[in-house]
Amino acid sequence: MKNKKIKVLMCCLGPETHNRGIIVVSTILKEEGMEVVYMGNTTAENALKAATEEDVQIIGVSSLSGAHLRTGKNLLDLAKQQGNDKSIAFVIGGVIPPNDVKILKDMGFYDVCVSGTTKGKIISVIKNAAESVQPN
Amino acid sequence: MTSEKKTTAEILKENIITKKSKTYDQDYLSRVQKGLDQWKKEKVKPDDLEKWAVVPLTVLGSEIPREMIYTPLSIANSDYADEIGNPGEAPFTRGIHSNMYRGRPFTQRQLVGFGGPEDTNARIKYLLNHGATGINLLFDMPSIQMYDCDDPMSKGSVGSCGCNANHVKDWELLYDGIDIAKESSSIVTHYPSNTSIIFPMYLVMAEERGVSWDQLKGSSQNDMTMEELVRNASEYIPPKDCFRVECDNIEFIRKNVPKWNFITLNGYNFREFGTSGVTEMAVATAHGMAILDEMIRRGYEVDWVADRLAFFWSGGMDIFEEVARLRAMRRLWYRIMKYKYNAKNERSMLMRCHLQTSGMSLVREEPYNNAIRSAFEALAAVLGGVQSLHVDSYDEAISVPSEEASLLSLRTQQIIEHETGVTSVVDPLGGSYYVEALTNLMEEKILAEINEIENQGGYVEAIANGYLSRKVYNYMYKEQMRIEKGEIKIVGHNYQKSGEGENFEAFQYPEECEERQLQRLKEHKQNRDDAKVEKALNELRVACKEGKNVMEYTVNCARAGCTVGEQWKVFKEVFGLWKRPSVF
Repeated sequence: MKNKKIKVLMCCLGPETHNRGIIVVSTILKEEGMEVVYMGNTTAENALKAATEEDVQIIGVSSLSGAHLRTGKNLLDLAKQQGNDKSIAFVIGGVIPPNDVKILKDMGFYDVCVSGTTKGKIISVIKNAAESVQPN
Repeated sequence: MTSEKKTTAEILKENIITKKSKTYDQDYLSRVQKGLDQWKKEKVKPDDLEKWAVVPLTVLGSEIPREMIYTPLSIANSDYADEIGNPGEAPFTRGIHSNMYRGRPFTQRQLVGFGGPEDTNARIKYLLNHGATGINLLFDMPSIQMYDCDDPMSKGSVGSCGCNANHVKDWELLYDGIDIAKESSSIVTHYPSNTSIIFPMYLVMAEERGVSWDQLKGSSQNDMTMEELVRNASEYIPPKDCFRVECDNIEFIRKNVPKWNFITLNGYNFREFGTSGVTEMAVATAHGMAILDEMIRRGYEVDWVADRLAFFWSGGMDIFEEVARLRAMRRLWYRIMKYKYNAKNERSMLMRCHLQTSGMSLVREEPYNNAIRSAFEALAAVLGGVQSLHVDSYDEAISVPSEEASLLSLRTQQIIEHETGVTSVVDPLGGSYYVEALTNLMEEKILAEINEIENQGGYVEAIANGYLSRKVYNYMYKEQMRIEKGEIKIVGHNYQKSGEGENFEAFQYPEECEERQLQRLKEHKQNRDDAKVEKALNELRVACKEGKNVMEYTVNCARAGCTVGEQWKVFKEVFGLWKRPSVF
């Protein structure tokens, strides 16, 4: 995996209206030389479909409206069903209460970037997540 | 824009002739100047002289340099009568009423909305029982983006960040036991499309209760900036159609619901998305003018529309800038209405506004600090003379506010009103050399940015061609990096940081509301008359195509039991989808 350019699909699951976070994070990753597939609002089904078609290593989810546990679980459950939960790494960020961080990790998210996470931390999380991917 | 068409700035420049009976005479100013020069020489450190003007770096700030002190010289060219005036008289710099809060306190309108209609109903009643003086209703992500709760897009998001409501039956639950003839409601529909679809459900609920529409008091947001520029979505209708729907809504509501504010020109969400208080006001003003131009084109008198235009601002941390720009905006709006639009009705010239404290300024570390931030922002809003206020809650960087946090926000408003004494004097900061100088500067800056928008071809075009998206994008990224580098200090977050805010019990909205709402929608669809639904949707389709006023038809859709999602599908089908210019 080391020499492959990191490719990330960035999305919000469901009709999330907030997008400052996803825009800023997408810019940070692009400036770091990663390839970003900016999907905006989408369903778990379409995110996974696009991730496979675009051959990304990571799906980054932005959530600010409090629905992260349910939408996050939908995504991970579907990925497991499709057998893609190890070939893609899942990272989530946004307005996420402290107690939900562990729940999301237990669900299968590689990491959780709560609001206020620094640029350096986001880049290292994504790089590590890319390393963790086991291609099918 | 044709070359002979004058810009707003040019029109104002030609028409504003002040009598120039200066507040200070020349002799007096010469003495002040002499004294100032001497003071600088004798008392001021060279370092301070060198850094005479500094730029306060604050979240969502305007980066306007500030001098170390302001003196009569800073406002030597200001005329009290022409440029400041007494409150309740032109140019309304000091406030829209002569007695301001002595006569009528600011409406204490806390946002509310989460879960299903019954959950939100309970919170509304809780706030009203604790002294809230207005309802301020937010919708969940599916409803606001116009998807029904059974749409695949909605799965997992129902009830998040607002109240879920799909059809009129949900509205009956939402307002159960609340007297809509008495309580005023701000229905935060955000978008023109959504206002067109959702607001009629409120009207039909009133109809069913036997409350006539002329008794209803409140406002709907109905703002194109929100739909086309600010919101994150997978489907947008083209800007010109969105603008038409916005104006259709205005026309219908103005004719049929006379006490209703048919638009709140949105600055808040636009600024919070990532822009300064100056750009916020410039865009909302340009937007207001675009509406007036269109309504005049449709054959209406300017006053018929303008006397119900209202604004919605974000309140940032830079206290004096916030006060100054509210004062500046009142003066500028008066001047535009008087000199550009020749309004006759005084009410048309008043910049009436609701203000919400900034959510962007709140952080998750040491969340109780946010209560202090919000309180300062709220104080600035009151010193600036707003009509209505929402104070953000300390837990908003972590979750939807808990009941306790909502109550603290309401208490913040009540403490400002009843304990601080600031409401006893009108425009208490008026006459401050600093505040008056900054007010002048803010007005200039706002007008300059209006000019930039007009150079793009006006408000609708500046959205359609991506100019405003790029402007926001550049601001937001630069600001984010400044926060990262610690140039903009946020205590507990990037300065004096002591923890991550780990031990905090966040409010959880009732997630099981999704099942409740799905069941309710299913029953609703079984019980309605399908032929009526089809007929209403078809008539809406035709109206959209033929340029008839859409709200005439969405009201019938609401009566027939059509859902939010069904009507949005008609809009998308007729208007087609617009690809928003990319910012990357």
